[in-house]
Amino acid sequence: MHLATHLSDAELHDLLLGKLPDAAEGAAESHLAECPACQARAATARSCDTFVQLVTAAGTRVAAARAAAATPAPESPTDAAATQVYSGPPVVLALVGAPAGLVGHSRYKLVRRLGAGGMGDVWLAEHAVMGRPVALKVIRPEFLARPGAVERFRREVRAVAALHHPNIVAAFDADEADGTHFLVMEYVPGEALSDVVRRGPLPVADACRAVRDAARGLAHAHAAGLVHRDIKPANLIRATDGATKVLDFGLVGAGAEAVTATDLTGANMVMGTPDYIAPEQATDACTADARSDVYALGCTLYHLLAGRVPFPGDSTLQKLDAHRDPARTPDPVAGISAKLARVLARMTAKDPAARYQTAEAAADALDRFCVTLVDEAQPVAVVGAPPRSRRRFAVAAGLLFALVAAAGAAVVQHRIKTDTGELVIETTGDDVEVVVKQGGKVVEVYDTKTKQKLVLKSGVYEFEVNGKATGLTLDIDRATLKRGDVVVAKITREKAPPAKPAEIEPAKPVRLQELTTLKQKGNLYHLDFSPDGKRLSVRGDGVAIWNTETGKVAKEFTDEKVLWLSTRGDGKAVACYSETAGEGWVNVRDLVTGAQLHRVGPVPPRGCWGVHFTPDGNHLLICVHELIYRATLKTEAIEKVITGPQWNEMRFAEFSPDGTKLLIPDTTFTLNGQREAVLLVREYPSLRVVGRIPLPGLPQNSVRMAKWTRHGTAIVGILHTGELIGTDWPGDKKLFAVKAHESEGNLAAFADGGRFASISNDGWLRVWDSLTGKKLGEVRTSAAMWGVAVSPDGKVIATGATNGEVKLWSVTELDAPKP
Amino acid sequence: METSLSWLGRLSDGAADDWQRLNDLYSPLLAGWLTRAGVPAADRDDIIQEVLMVVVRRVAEFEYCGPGAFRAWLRGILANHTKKFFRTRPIAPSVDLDQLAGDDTALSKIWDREHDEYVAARALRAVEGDFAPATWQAFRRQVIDGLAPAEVAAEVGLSLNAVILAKSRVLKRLRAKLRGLVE
Repeated sequence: MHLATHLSDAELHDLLLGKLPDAAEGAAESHLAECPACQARAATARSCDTFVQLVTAAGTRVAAARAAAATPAPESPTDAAATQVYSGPPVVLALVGAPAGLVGHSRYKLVRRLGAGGMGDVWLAEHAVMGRPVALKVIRPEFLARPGAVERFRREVRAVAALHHPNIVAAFDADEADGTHFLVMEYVPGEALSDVVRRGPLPVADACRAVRDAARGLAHAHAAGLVHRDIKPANLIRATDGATKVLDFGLVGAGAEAVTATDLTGANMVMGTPDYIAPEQATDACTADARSDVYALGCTLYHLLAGRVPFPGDSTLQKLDAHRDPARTPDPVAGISAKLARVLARMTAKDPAARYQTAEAAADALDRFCVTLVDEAQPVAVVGAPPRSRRRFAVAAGLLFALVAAAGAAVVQHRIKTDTGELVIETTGDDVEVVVKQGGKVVEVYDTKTKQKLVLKSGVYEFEVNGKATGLTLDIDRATLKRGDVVVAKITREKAPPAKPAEIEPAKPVRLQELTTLKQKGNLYHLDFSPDGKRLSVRGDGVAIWNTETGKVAKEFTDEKVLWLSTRGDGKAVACYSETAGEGWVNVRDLVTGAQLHRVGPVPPRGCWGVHFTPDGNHLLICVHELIYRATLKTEAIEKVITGPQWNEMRFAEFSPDGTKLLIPDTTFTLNGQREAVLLVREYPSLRVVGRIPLPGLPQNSVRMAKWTRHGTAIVGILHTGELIGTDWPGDKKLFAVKAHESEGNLAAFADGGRFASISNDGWLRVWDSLTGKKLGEVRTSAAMWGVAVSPDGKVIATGATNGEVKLWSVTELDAPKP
Repeated sequence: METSLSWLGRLSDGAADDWQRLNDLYSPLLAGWLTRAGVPAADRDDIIQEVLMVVVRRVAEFEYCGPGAFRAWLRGILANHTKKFFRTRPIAPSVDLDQLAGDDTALSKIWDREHDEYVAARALRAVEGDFAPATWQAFRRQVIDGLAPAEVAAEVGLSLNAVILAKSRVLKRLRAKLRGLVE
């Protein structure tokens, strides 16, 4: 009988704290259940240890985080849930260099240092009463040393505090604590454009949008009589919602007087940053007016577009001279339209009277470049006049260039295929080497001697002459290549006939019939037909290559546990991704012999979403969580080419049928800090963003797979809910949204462009019209399905199920029912 | 979530989901400290990856010598990689990284406390679903909200015995989950 012996104090204590060993636990629990006396002792015992204290503290945190999540608040630095950054309580001990007056301030609680500026450090703080985050800009004492400077600083800040505009970072107050003067500002979570541009030039529309936003904010301040005097990328913040805001209004004006003229470096620092300063301001800081801000904004735009400052030079003085010299103009920016180049030139005109007279006018001029139009990418300088007609959607508009060698000399020929034409470069002899650049990046060329071939797409190309050749000049206007006065080569430009997509037949209903079932081990996520349709690569526990005509396994690789695979466009090689010893590697194997051709890696094994051969078959894209790596097979070199937003899963990376565009998932932030899904279209190989399809209301990572349909003029995606969404491309017109399946699934497009197939773990295989989203046929299997592929001729569909069954289905067209 | 040391031991085998688990568990904590140290947002993920890669590569050499050994080891790797980062940048860290790297400093104690609280909070979220809602509530009201067992029994509508056992069982489960990781 359990009642016979009561629990000892030690036993009771251990039981209450969950520390009793398993062997003793059962007996103790049984006794407790029947012994009111021991229950009473347990109910009043004060059993606690450090572990329970820890659980109590942790539990309090969890409860607080849940309460915070239940009442959405503007993103604050302690909002761990929204940012996936765990911030403990503010650690005052650890704050190095915190100004004395601000440690333990009654109104503001320092959280962390956000950054350092010319005038002093910026700290993130929390308003002790309001609880809202603010940014404190601590002004270095030397800026306010002169008599009366503090008063002027405060007056100026109050004027700035009166400004309310979505494109201006609001200033709340100027305050002082123990001799430390600081400015209290709105805290804008986001990134300074100086940090953004450090990663490379911005897409044209992005850059224009940022500068237009800033111009709107400036216009508002100018109307109130305030000039910024120090516009630069570091003073423009792109908030997480995408809007750009101007920072540090009024500080320069307040501080400028405090600095003596002899202190040249100091003076430069406060009167404007030499990379962006207007000529008149560089001459005499007091003459700066609204137009000086327009100039600085123009220089900022130049920096964002070109990825470099207008006058890269060594010294401050050289830079100031360059701005002041009427004869000096910055090098042209590659890859922008002539119209945008004119707007840029007008913003950065040396004579204030020749500029846009107001920031508003500059904003209006930039407005039309803020939407992503493909013809932004039309070449400007090298190929002469831009095309006359505006082809909004002419991504594939091929331009045929021919660089024809002048008489004589042996000819070296380079041929570059574009999607709709060929670029032929012929040079005389081996002392001239023509390098073709695209978007500032050198792209290899085809060389008839070495038989190296690289297929490029249309886009902006620059020509550069290297090698032993000297004294060559490239006449941009007439597009001729000269040595001294002798014309060595001419560039002629012809428009290639536009490639016409094959007519899309109106999609007819189909009947789906099971042909055969193949058994394979493991979950079948991956199926891939060879271009001739005779081979089907299947990823189960290993990789099997099935002969679809005989139904037999032609080749099997079981020596590695392959997680993803991709068949090369020529059907001769297969890339297999696997993970070993904490690293991800891709083996490229010969599809027939199984021999290893290349091995690339390593990538971090943090969630691979697929490997994809590029259309030319020379590279592989490896999608790892939010990253995309590009591996060059020839050299087996690997580089990180795309870094997506945090937690954005690169579940797909789909090349358009013509191989010029890449479709990937992306994430955007809504005003209230939610992460929403976006489809992003990037040009390949430049990876420049050419389109963005927002999906309002759909959470991040909700698009499980997306495919190009209608020969690259439409996109279809399947959501986590099993819904299908179809959208026009480009044009972002919604074509359809249908509930296709009970849960998420996978897609495959038919080569004819008119149809696509979908499967899901609900067991259904369905075929759809890619224009209307109308169901054309369906069949049900017993198993949950994950993989789907359509044969190149569109007559067979392969599906892979979680039970290891691969099924082949015949697709038979039926006559459309009479209306 | 699995946080026990046995899982850390398995990390060196290189299984993808174990890596993912390590990443999911520790990324937010590391990101918080990197933020506090003044590392720009754009660079945080890279450092986190570096730190966790080192953990995976060297977990086999890691010598377990009592609770707290792992978190101290992780702290050392984090401090070193953050220091390395700041050596290549024109900005200075906003926390004293030597203090973070050292044992028994004020900052390392804050790390220890936060690490334990953080891991415990994750464990709490992870095991909650394993218990009946009433059991969980009985545990929560006692241990987190500090109510006496009799009060909780009345509030939740369970017997006194059930309330006492709820606390005992959840704590036991948490202890198993966190064994070796926290003090």
